[in-house]
Amino acid sequence: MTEWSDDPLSVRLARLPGAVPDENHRARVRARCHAALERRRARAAATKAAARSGWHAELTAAALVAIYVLAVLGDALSAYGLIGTGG
Amino acid sequence: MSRLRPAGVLTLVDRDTELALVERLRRGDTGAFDVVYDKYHARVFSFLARLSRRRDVAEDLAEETWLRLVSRCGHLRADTRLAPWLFTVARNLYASYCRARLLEDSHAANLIGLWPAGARPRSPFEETAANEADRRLEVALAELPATSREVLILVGIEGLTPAEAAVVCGVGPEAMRQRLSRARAQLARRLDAIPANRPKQLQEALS
Repeated sequence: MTEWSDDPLSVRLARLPGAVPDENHRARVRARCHAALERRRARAAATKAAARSGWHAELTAAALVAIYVLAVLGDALSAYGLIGTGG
Repeated sequence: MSRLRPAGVLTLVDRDTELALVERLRRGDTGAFDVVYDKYHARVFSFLARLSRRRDVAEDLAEETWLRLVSRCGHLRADTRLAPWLFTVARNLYASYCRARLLEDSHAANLIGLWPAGARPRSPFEETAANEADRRLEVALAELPATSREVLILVGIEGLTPAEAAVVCGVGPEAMRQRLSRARAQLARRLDAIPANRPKQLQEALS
């Protein structure tokens, strides 16, 4: 929009001074936003930790189940005399 | 509104820097937020102050704009343009504020009855414009209809491109071109109607 940028009225508008927000207000808004970002980070970290601990729990349960199944299988095989009892 | 930032100083960000800032914002980086806040807060505030003509309203809506950015930063698109994004949120918040106020006013009018409308409150900018020419321009701008005022503020004062302003206002480029042209003509007419070097008449127009 060349005709706009060359327009003397647009030049005058561009030169109008802008407002400076109150310094206390500026600081308060910044602090509120920082706090919100911090809460967001803490929530994300908690979610991540929960997901990680959930994965660990599942792995532990799977390992215990595998050990139990192997033990039952061993007992069954030795009961039928298919493997030695070692004694 | 006693403090004004220098005229014509727009703290624009180059595209690469902007993309990097958006990426960091998406991760919730406080440092990136500070950079964006320092660059855009005064502009968002000025935009809202000129739209609402009230400092307290502009402060509240600017605060809400920044809290929106923080709450949604994780969902920003990687190619987000920050200035249009922020001005869009600010404009939508102002529209919501106007709707709420209209509703409140209509309830109040129902309860108390109709009363004569008071004079338009003087814009904070009108009170502090540095010189007579600026003051006349602020008066003329403040008297424009909201749709005209917002395009002139976005393009003329805040330095957005007409395409960016079209995104902010939710219209197409051609509609924006027409709005801008119409707004410019309205502003010129209003300026002509405000007599120069006549302080008494100007005072009447301001009050």
